[in-house]
Amino acid sequence: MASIINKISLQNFFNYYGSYDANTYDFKEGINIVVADNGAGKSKLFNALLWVFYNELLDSDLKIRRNIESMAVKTISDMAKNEVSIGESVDCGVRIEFQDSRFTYQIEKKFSATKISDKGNMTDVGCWEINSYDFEVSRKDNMLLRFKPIFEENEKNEIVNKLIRKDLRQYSFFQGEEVEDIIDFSKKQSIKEAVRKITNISKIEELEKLSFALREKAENDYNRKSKENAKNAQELEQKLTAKEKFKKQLEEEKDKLEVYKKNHSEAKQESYDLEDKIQNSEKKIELKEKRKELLRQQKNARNDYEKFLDGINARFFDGNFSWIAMGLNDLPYSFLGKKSNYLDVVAEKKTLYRLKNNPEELSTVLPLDMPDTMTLDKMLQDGHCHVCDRKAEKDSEAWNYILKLKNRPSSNQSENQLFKNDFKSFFEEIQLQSQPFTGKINSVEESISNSIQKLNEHKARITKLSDRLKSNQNELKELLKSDDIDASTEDERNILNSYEGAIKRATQAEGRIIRSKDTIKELLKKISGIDEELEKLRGTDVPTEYKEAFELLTDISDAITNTRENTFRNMLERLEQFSNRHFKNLVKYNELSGGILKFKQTLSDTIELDVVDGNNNIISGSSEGFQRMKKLAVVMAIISAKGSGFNYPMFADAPLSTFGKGFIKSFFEEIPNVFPQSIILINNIYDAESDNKLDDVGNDLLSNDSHVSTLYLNEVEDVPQVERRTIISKLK
Amino acid sequence: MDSQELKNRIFSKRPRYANIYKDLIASLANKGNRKTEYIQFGPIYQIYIYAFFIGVHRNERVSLPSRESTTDFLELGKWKPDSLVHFILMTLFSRNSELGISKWNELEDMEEADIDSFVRIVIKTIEEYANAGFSYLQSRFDEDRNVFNETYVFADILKDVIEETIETE
Repeated sequence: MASIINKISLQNFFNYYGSYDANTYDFKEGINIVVADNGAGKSKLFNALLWVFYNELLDSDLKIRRNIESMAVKTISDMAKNEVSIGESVDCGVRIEFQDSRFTYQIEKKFSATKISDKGNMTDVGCWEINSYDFEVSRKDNMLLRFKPIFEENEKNEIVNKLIRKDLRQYSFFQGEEVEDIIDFSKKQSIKEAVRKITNISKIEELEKLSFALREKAENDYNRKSKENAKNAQELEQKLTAKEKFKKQLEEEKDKLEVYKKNHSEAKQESYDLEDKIQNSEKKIELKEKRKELLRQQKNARNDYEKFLDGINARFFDGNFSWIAMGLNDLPYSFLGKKSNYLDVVAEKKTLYRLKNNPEELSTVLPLDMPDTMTLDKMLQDGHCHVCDRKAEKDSEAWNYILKLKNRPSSNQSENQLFKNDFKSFFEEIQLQSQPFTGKINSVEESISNSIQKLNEHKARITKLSDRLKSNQNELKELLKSDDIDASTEDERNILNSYEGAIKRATQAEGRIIRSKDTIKELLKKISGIDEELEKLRGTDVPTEYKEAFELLTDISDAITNTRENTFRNMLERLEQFSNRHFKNLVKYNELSGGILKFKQTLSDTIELDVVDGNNNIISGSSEGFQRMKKLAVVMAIISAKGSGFNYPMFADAPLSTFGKGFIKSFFEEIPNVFPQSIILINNIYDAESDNKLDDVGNDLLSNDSHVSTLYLNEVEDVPQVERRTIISKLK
Repeated sequence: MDSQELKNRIFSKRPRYANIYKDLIASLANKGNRKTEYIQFGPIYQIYIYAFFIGVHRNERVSLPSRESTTDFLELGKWKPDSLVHFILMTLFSRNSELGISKWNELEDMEEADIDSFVRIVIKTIEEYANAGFSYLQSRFDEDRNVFNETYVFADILKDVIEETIETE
């Protein structure tokens, strides 16, 4: 009969505050479920078994297993620690009761801690003294009433081993993500190892070794007798030496082949191990290069922005923008008006002066020196009089008149004495020189709003780049599992190089394996040829029992080798068959077919597992749920293909964390076909909103129709850590 | 005297500002790349011109204190760009009454000494408009310095001043 866990009790163990009686799970044969939301003691229950099996606990902060001694204080319930005064002690422990067909066993691991100081935090190691670590095991005959303690350490450990055998523990005692590692398809050895574990192959191998030695001895005896009786002893000796030489070569070649296989397997393994990383590495390099480029663009964008900001105020004074002229729209008109008045007065004065000095000269309606030389030039060039707005084509009378005006003697030349000062060109220069500003007055507001728009564009560019950088940064952090995203890409390059190296080595080894197998075939052929010749040379006088013994032992060793090969092949076939049976059952509530599992022996004699469709095409990239189901199916197959049934409970923490409802349902239907007892710690079916905290799948499992033996609910109140305790309720 | 001479006399003058605005100028003018926490102008004459136009828009002139409480700086002729100095002169000559002449023609009959006085009046007018502008800027600065961290603060202030002037008109 299989081992069945009856009870697991906990005392002040993490959130399990209080005595063993207050924290006991009663389990039965069949399916036992502990439902808990995150933080409600699921993984702590798993930890209880880790302690029992390995004296280790999973440090949830560091995500590694640590020795119980190194985290004793952390293990004690905070609520219990908080309650004791200096000098008082707290007991912390785990007790498991299980039975097989004859005995019931109790295993208890515990320690007590005394508070020696209340300085600092109560979780500080320095505040506590750990008194002793106890490991107690007792046993009672199922027909009797009393437990008797076991004192012998070895016996105690054997009893722990009875709970779940050590070498099979990996198949029935695991946490969620560990399912991935039980059958790690990237580790090709793992299926081969599993096959070895569940078959008697290792025993056959021992027999095979023995049979080879016996055959060798029989052959030596036969050869010795043959030499004594041979007619042509010299030729016989030569052939025997030749055979020995080939045999030696054969052994050497076999050794070489083993080395090549090992190299091949290792190189393959390395390439599989690197495959995930290499994709990451390529991605990492790509992301890091992108980050570099984005940082460069960001720097440029910031420089541009800063330059733009620095240049903004210069726009007040730059004639291309002339912002300082804002709001001075009337100024040029006012100036021109004043200038016109000024020129009128000047002209009047000059006219009066000329009339006075040259009464004969024809007076003109045009003011003196008006239009100015520049305007006259333009009028000549345009062939148009801008004063009377009439045509004045080149060489026409009008055009010649304009030319005459242009060439008239300047008023200055003759009338210098008329004014003390002549500032006409001073005012003209003001008008002319101010043009960059006067010409822009009307467009200043538009220029400012364009500038604001430009500024916003600069800001938007920076924001966009920052966003892109941020998302690149997050992707990188995620990939690197580190905040140090600017570390060099050397590691990634090394990974890529290692991967390429591993592939190259695997290919090399593959070639060598093929060549080596050919050499072996060749050598065997040679040996067999020599054997035929030897038979003729041995003569007829050798006692027949020597010949018969040699032939018999050769047949036996051949038979054993065949048996070993057949056993392995048969078990592999059986494993494939069982894996598919479990897999089919596990994915039956899913719409998509999961495919067919196929085991394949590789060149280096390891086993690969492919998932193929009906047409034997390899399916890759199924969902994580499917991947894990596939692994669970193989685990179940390893156990059920054994034939004799599995004699230990399955104890799994969150094995279904990546599963949908269909998977969960089929998992609970399939598991009793493999394990006599299963204890599954699960949060998928927890529903905080529901009255009984179970979702619809949980309620189906709770119903009387289901084959679930017990169902527990763990809850914790939302209170400070020092008041937090796990409350266990038995729902079924 | 000819135009060039008049221009030379005006351009060779160094306008002055009241020492009480030294801190303000230090905060808002980037003299030789010394950056402050505020949005800044470049050389002093830029903030000076800006203050001048604030005074012009506000139609406000404030006399400078006595000479020892003032500081001069770069000659008008060295302010950049040249066109802007002419634009300032355009502004001043459009307001000739502020310069003490009823029309430009009066200049043509002045003696050299009177022209010198006139040039002094031109510079004084620039100084007084700028002084009024500085006073306004100082009050805005004292009111809320944070505003001076905003990119377009000087365009905004100029706009405010123009709008205030339009409203009062």
